[in-house]
Amino acid sequence: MELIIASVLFIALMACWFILPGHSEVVGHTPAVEPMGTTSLTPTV
Amino acid sequence: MINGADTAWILVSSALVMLMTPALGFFYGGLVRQKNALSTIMHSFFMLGLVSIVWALVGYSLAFSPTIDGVIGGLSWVGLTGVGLEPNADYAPTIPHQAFMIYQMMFAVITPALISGAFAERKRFKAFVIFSLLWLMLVYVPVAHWVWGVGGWIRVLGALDFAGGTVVHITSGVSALVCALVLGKRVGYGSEPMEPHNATLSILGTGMLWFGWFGFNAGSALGINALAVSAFVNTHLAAAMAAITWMTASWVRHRRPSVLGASAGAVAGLVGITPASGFVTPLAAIIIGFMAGAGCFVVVEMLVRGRVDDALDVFGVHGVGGIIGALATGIFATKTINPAGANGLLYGNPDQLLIQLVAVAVVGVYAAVVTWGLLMLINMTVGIRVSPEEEARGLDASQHGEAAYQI
Repeated sequence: MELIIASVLFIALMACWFILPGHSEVVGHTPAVEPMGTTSLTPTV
Repeated sequence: MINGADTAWILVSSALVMLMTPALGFFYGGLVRQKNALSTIMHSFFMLGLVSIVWALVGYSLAFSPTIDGVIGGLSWVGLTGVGLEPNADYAPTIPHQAFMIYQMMFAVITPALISGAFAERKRFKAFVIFSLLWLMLVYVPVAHWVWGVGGWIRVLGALDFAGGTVVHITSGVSALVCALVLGKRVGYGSEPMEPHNATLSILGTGMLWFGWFGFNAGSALGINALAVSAFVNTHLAAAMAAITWMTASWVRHRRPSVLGASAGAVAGLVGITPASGFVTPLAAIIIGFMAGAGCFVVVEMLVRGRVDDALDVFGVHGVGGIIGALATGIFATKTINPAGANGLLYGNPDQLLIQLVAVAVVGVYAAVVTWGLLMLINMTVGIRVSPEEEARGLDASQHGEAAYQI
């Protein structure tokens, strides 16, 4: 009984991961994670 | 007779549970705004000092010394009088009594700290100290005696709580909800962004909590034995299942697989399995992890929609997770795992679920009523909430005169 319930729940979760769209697919683009030109490795002038 | 391996395991477990309190500080600290990071961490860190001393002076005696009518312990162990290096046969016959005492101390330390997430970013430090001290003595200590003390009335009733689902998480979670309602919303709640200032710090805190939780649950076997292994395995599986459940729920609801959601889910799973960890099979632990991850997610969403400013979801995660875990224990418990326990509903004993329900209801109502009374009392005396100006400056500056970051 417990094996069946646990297996069904896990398979259902995995099914969601295959079906659900990624975040960038939802918003239409991949948002920048940090502003360009502000890190110490990127000259700003 | 003292067993060296058992003693070593309980000392290591005590250290693991001790680590959970600063870990909680990191978990909470990363979730608040930068101006409140240090004060939020302090709400956990300070408990290591305050509660440890109170526990040694009087708390342990009232919680665990011989009972007075099943309601409270006596004063025979005040100041650790009689709590020596010989085992106490009633609680842990193979380790020194002081090892059991300090292991229980770490539980007492983290429980008031859990509540602090509900009133983060707006409670006066002075009020926090007084509240935590009184709450420890009037809520935690009596409930610990009822559930775990020899002769405690809930223990006599037959309720199962292996590692503190009722004693730690329901008391703190329900009290957190009362705190959130009494203190009210933070200034700007719902109208301005209150994003976590450091998500990575929170994830670090979650990882440390997960690590420490092995001591919390497996250590509750009070020896290094098969029961400890069972609790260890169950703890990990429930946390894992709850993490992926919450993340998936977040993905469905908000269209993104939230990292902080997976983190909150892991904590929900750890909470959910806490009362059951020494009574259920690994497969039941996976199911309980799912129940905790999904159930806590739904309640947190409802609280946000209802505009209840439980700032760091203490009720949603600890209160609800604790209730789910306590009831699930009444469903999935089996004496094949722990002969000293009881069978649950699935193993032919529906009465166990009823007993668990009674324990949850009584402890929840008691914690809520006493917490409300304490908050009213403190508000009438020293005042419970910082001024709007202090709240705007942030608690790090207004309460402690320090800053979390100098960058």
